Amino acid sequence: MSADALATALSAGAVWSVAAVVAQVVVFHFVRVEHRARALALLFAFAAFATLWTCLLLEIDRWRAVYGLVVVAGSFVLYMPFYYTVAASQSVQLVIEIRAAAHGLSREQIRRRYPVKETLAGRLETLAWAGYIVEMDGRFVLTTKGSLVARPFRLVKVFWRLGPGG
Amino acid sequence: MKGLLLAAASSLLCVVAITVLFRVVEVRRRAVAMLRVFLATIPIYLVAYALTPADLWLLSGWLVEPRAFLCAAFGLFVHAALFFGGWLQVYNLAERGFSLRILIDIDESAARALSREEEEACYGGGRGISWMLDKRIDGLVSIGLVEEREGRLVATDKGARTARVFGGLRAFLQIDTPQ
Repeated sequence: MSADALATALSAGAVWSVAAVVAQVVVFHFVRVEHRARALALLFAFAAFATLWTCLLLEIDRWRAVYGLVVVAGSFVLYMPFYYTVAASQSVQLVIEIRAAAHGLSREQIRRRYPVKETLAGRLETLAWAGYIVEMDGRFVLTTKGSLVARPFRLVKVFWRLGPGG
Repeated sequence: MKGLLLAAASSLLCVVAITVLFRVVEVRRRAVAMLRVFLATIPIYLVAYALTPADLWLLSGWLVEPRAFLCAAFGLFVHAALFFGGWLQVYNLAERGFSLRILIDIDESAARALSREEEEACYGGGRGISWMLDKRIDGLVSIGLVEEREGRLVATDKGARTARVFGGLRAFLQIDTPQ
């Protein structure tokens, strides 16, 4: 076994992960992508295949090639929360809007900009579309998929003594 | 393999310590507390790596890495990924997830079913949907990004810097921010 096999596999994973992030930034800058999350996942999936291909090409043993894949997977789970903070965080959006307003915003103005009832209605629709809830006689009930998500998190909230959240 | 195993053990130690902390002490800024616990496990990981043999008394020869430094760095990366991409995200979802809160509200309701109007009233364990926005605004005030002056919310210097950075990134990535 070559002492450099691990270094090569890890480098391949790191280089292809950086390539995935750079490609995402470039693509999102120049093209209006509709399914951003899917595009990002695809880019990292490509990085994983590319890492595997690089390791095979350089005759790295399978075990070290898996290490390279772990680097890509780790980069993905580290990058996704950062990306979602930039792209989807309501708190980030609020700070940007408050700063953009010449004299700041009152709570009432913020409430008008973020009509929470409409937001809730939209989210219920999304949850139903994604198969987490179904509407029965005008009320929403959890599907099996919804229960599988809600129950473990209820336990986490109890176990860590968290507040109501949301 | 040693790095991976020690990373898994450190991550387990980290979540056990977080659980004990949350159950024993009333923590106000939980994410910061979690980060401190994670940082405290890093020297423990490094000491454990330095003091244990390369085969951890059980690994086969082909699983032993000849380059200890690289293997240790790889383990540290995995430990960080498990924390920032795993435990911290579980906490963020449980504490801030909007969709998750809706699912839990439905699950906690007596009939395990809620209409839209009932969810508006019950959201957040009975706090009501308006609380969701107030919670976010109060969160921004508590971390010093925004301050309230004569009934208006204005960005602090720290908030203005944050807005510039994230606003710039959003604009570059063509993510719309309504003005």
